[in-house]
Amino acid sequence: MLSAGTPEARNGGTATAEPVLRVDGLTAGYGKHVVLDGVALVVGEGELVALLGHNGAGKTTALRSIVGQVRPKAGSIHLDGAAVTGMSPAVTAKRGMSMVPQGQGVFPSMTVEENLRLAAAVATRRSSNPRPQDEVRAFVLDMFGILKRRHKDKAGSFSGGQRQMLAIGMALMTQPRLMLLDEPSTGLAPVLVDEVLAAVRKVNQELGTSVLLVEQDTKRVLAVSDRVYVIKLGVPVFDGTPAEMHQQDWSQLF
Amino acid sequence: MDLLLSLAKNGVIIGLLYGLFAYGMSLIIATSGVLHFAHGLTLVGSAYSFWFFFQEKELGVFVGVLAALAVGGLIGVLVELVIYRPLRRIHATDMVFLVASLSVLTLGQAAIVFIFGTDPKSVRPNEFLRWSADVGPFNIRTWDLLILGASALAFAALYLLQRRTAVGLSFRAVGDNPQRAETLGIKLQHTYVWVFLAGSLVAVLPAMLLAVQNPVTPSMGFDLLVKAVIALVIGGIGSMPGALLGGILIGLVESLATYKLPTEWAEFTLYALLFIFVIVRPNGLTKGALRTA
Repeated sequence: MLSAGTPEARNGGTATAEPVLRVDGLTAGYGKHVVLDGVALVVGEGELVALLGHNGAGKTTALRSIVGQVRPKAGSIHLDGAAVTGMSPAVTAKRGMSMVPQGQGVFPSMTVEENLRLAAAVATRRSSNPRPQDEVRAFVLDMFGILKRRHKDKAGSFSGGQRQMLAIGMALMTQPRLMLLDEPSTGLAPVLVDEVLAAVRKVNQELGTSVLLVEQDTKRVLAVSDRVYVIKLGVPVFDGTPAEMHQQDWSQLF
Repeated sequence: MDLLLSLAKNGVIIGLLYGLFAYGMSLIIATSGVLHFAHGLTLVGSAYSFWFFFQEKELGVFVGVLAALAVGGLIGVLVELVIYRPLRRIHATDMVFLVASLSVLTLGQAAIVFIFGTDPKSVRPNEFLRWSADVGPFNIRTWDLLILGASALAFAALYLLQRRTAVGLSFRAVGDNPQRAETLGIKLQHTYVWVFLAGSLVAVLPAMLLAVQNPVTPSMGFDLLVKAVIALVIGGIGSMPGALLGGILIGLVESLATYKLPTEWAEFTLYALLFIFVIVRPNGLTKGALRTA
């Protein structure tokens, strides 16, 4: 894993190592309404990067543009050095992005086991996978004990926190190059938020999966991230490490 | 009493056919969200193909079955590619899909009248199909056994498809939440084509089985469609036990009604049944309910 401290790593490495994700000048919106204006961000190999900002800052739109649910008006998105700008979500998923959408990350009429198996089937259609499926599956079930205990239960019977864990598990079964999480803490009790964020960090450190995490809960996120971006009303206002973030006047950022 | 039992048996057997046809349609509706009334055309098209190649051209049962499967599958896939896909692109409302689907059915029926005329066609039963035996109070025909066997096989295959295979799981996932399915890497357009193919192939079984017992007519698709819709209102969309239960209930009611009522009243009893369900249990017996596209 690259350390996040050096300037090279912060910018996703030098010319020799392309970052996993590079977003430049991303401008996006709905109709004539511009939500994001010139956002740039980089996620290096094995990094956990957080994208913070208030409600309506454009965080979710940024994620949706990156995975292809929203077509950018301007700017470019590169995954492992290859342009994926404006490609459909199914294509960006095949290329190695896996988004965990806010709230609705599971298929409620299917069992836990079926949800995970379907996600794994997507990955088996890809040519190169770093790990055997069984290993990833064991990791997921080990990390989220509830998924093992309620293997045969329908995901629709799960609580919000349990669904979030299953959704993360599904994203991992696709063996992504980059996992993108949209506010995984929404609607969860604080103790569950800690559990979910700890799990995201564990995935990042033990599987080496690069992560782009969108959140509102700034304090908790700073504790687990390598680097942080803040956007305000669609415009980037901060880019740095959690330590640098702590020295900022947060009232200017949010 | 023997008559009643015999009517009940016939009701269950024909009900299995209704259930099979309804479940193919239900599979398509649950995944794609389209109220696929043109499913009736799939039935007519494959029944005529079977009659044409097996009876008219005398090319044997194997060619007849293959032709019916090919035509049935093709109709379903073509309707998806030529009608529904462009409509989805322009974000057409459910009502537009419904009207388009009904238009395809009526146009298709008109085309069949144009090609083959309105007179009913019949497949003359061969030695094998004429066999029957008395078992207790029941007269069991080859046809009854064919339906039992075919529906058992088809339902088992569909059950396994949706639980064991990636493509079957993707049908259910897309039905649950298409956006999430897409972010997981499932191509929606491919999934729709596959589900239309699968659901349409299921309709070919009742098409052929009906063709060997009843006259083949241009309106047979619409008649069965009405029954399928009633079965799905009773049983719920997307539910396998629901479609089976709904189909069998319709078969039973339709058949048993003739015990006391003149045969032409059989259809009336179906609408009475539908009316009761729409008022009392609009979501059906099982929990599968109509989902918007």
